[in-house]
Amino acid sequence: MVSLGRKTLFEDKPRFAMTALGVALAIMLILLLDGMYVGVVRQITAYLDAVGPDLVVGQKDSRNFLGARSVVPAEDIGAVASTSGVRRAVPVIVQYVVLDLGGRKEFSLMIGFDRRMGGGPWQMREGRSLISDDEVIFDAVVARRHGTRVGDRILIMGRRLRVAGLSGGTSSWMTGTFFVTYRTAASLLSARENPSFLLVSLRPDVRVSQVEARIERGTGLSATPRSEVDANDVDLYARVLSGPLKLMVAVAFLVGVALVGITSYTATLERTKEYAALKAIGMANVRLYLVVLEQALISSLAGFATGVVLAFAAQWLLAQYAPQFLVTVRPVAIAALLGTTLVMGSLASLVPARAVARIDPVLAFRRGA
Amino acid sequence: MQEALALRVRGVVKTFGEGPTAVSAVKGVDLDVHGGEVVLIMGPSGSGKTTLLSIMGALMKPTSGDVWLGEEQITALSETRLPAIRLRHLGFIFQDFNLLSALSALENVEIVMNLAGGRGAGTRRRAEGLLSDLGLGERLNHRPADLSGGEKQRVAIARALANEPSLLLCDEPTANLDSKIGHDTVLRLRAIADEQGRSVVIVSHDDRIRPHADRVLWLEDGELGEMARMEIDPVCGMPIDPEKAAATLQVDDRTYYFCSQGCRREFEERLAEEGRPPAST
Amino acid sequence: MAVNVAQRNFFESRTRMAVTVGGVAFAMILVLVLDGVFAGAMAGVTAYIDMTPFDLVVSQQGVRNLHMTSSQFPSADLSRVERVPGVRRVDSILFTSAFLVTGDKRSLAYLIGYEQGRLGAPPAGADVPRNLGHGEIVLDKRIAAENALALGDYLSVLGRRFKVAGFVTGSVSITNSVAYIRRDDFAAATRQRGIASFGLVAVLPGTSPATVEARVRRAVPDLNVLTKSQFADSERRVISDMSTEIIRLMNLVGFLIGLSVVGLTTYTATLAKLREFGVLKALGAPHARLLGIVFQQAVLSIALGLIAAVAITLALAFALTLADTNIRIAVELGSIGRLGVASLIIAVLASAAPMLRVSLIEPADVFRR
Repeated sequence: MVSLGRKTLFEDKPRFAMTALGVALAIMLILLLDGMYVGVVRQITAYLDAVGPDLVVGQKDSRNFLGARSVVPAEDIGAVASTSGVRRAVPVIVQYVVLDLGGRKEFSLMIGFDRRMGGGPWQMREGRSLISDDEVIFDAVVARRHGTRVGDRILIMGRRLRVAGLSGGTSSWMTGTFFVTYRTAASLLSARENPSFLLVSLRPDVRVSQVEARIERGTGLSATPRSEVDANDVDLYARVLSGPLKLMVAVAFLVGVALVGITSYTATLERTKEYAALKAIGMANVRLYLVVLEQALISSLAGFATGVVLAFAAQWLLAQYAPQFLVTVRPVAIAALLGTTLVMGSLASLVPARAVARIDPVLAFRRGA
Repeated sequence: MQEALALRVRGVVKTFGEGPTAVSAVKGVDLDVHGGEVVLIMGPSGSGKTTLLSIMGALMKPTSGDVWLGEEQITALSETRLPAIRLRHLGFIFQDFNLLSALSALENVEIVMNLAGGRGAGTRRRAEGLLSDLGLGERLNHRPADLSGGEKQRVAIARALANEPSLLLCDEPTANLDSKIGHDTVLRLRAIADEQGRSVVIVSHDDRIRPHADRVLWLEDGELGEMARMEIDPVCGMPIDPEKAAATLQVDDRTYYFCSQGCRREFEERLAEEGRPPAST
Repeated sequence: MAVNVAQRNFFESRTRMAVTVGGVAFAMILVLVLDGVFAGAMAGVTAYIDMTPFDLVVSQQGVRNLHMTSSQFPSADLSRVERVPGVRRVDSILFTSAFLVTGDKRSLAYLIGYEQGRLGAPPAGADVPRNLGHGEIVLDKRIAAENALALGDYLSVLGRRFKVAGFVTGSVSITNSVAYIRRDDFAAATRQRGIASFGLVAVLPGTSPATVEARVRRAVPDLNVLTKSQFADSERRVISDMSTEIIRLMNLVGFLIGLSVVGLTTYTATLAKLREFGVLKALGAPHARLLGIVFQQAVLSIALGLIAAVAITLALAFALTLADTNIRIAVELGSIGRLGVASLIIAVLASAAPMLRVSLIEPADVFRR
């Protein structure tokens, strides 16, 4: 079976290449946007996922880890730790601070943790863990951006702290996390020794909801399962992004349709006389429309394949040169996008469809090109 | 050898537009074409030849009148059934060849067979055979851009024959070819009619086709008539229906017929140069 | 010249024109929306600062922002500021990020603890009570509406119940809004006595804030002092510094997509008219004139695309104000201007291939069939 669609599409190779490339860019953009969103979500929950508590205990009504201030009275620590079912209650002080580094504002999350109890960095790139109160473990990516090295001193809320080590997995495009001792955090925030949260791990055989209720009854604090806290934090921050992201995905899709549409349309118009002859010979409108559809789908799918490759290349490039943009190109996104690409091609083929239908076979008799 | 009627046209009229601006391209044409017959239709530009061809080719419905292709009354069929009719019963040969530039010679023929349901190696072999019979065995995989005018016309002929049509409709088949190739083309069409029993209707200005046609018709102002009684304008060479001549001139015992006053004037000037006095009008 | 060939060609086919302009417009909408969302976010970020009258702000050393930070210092330190020449009055506020909780709904807010009749109080308005009582709260009208809160209803913040006693407007941004309670309520809920978050300073009429700022800095060297505009700038920079890279990345992608659309459409449009270009060449049209036609085609596509993009983005921005979302798009002249320059560059680059093609036409080809 002669594939008229394919043959005519490849006859003008530069044009086909340009169309495919344009579609590829749109596809790449969509995959990157999706991957970026997934990356952001992952980064938002990175700390809690690494420390892995079962419950997050904070001030009454507090159900987020990030965003709002929470103060747990120091005298309640014992009560929580001794609640039946609780294996460990790790106190941490959590606060956003804005650092001025190299003339640039770095929006950062400060975690003050007790070295004996845990809640500190889970991945070290360089240096060592904290020994003294005038030290800080800084995020490796932010450090690299400012040329900060182990041994340098950073000004944090008026205190100069020495960089003892650089941590990994602690940055996002919005914030970098840094770690100081519990005492340092407390003094920087004038919080006395009250933690922001207690990260509670439970014994293996207990029911989370029961312990949750016990803690809340016993102390009047809020105890929230980690998954719920993660969801609330994601909701708060990812919400900022999801609207614009969805908009951009929609626009990228429309760009793809337009690109394939213009190519199909032009290619059809160029062959009016040929198509008129085919119609005269007896090709039904439907068959001709299928030829146009075939062209549109081939263009779209070629762009799709290229776009996927470009997306992975971009993901790699970002990981090398801008690791704060965590992009995770997901297979499920690729699969979904494949379906979307088919829709894109089909919609694009509607652009020349009317032109195809209107070609008068009598045109084949006309003289001249 | 005359066989069954391949084409029957009865009282076909085609009018474009309405009211005072209406134009009648075809005015009451009757025509019978027998199997194996070659019919040549000549006439001035704008005489309605393309319109008539389109109507015969089931590409256009007449304003009134009927057309039969074999047993099928094509004017009574709905639009949606016509493509299939054309595919199986008609072959078209266009002045501009209209080959698909992206396809090879072989594929140009094959695709028409595909449309009629043919697939696979057998179909391809049939296409190869048609092209080889026309002397294109070495050019099967060349694209139209690489073929000469004559070769392109032969591909077009092979394409027209792809689905074994009973009738071939040819629009100025020799217009874009040099005289030798043009002549060859006409001979091929003649052979197709004689050897394969297919009917061929040719619309053309080309006088050289006349000797090869079984019948020569003249279409002027939408009316079809036999060519035999045509006179030739001595200045421009156009065939003129004596009853419809725009101008005439009597010189000695001979009446000359002209397509226009302009040609007659020029003829009179020539006579004056030769020293022959013009006679009465 | 009398006849504008480029214009005639461009407007000849409505479908082609629509798809071309559409494709270009979409690529530009990508960029405009992105810029606009961040500009919109920035506008909201300084809501409290913009709506509160003061000239200077005093904060904990190292804290130069409001956003999500924590600033605390002894309120007694402000007495030194009062004595500085040029200072009319100094008032302190307590500040934190906190969730306003109504049943299942949570809204993040900047919570201000203020004293009646002093700086930092909600702007006077019809919906703001003259004297806020204990256990009462003023919040943004939109947030109240979103949470179905009317005057007299209760919500929970800082672990305590507060009664809705008044509303402010215009304090909502993508992530949060502003809410006010009494300073003493705030101090009690957070167990902070003798602490101030920020000191707001008003200077004497006729004095320059910048001059007074220098004096205040000398008076309290262990604290941070900024003018109102410096504070606002600093605040905006948190967002802008955070997002510059990602915006640049997206703009680049948008630029590339726009380039491919205009390139493709100009190329195909030129190809469609190649014969006509050949005829013009044969007729003796100067080479420059032909190239000019190609270039004009590109310029027309992109100019109309830009106009369409701006119009659609403005419409979208308007629609968002009506919709139930806190995302705002602010279309700025700078953004449009940058896009205009990029468009010109695109027009030049995109014309290159078609111009080359036109240059290669052999006038004699016009006689070929």
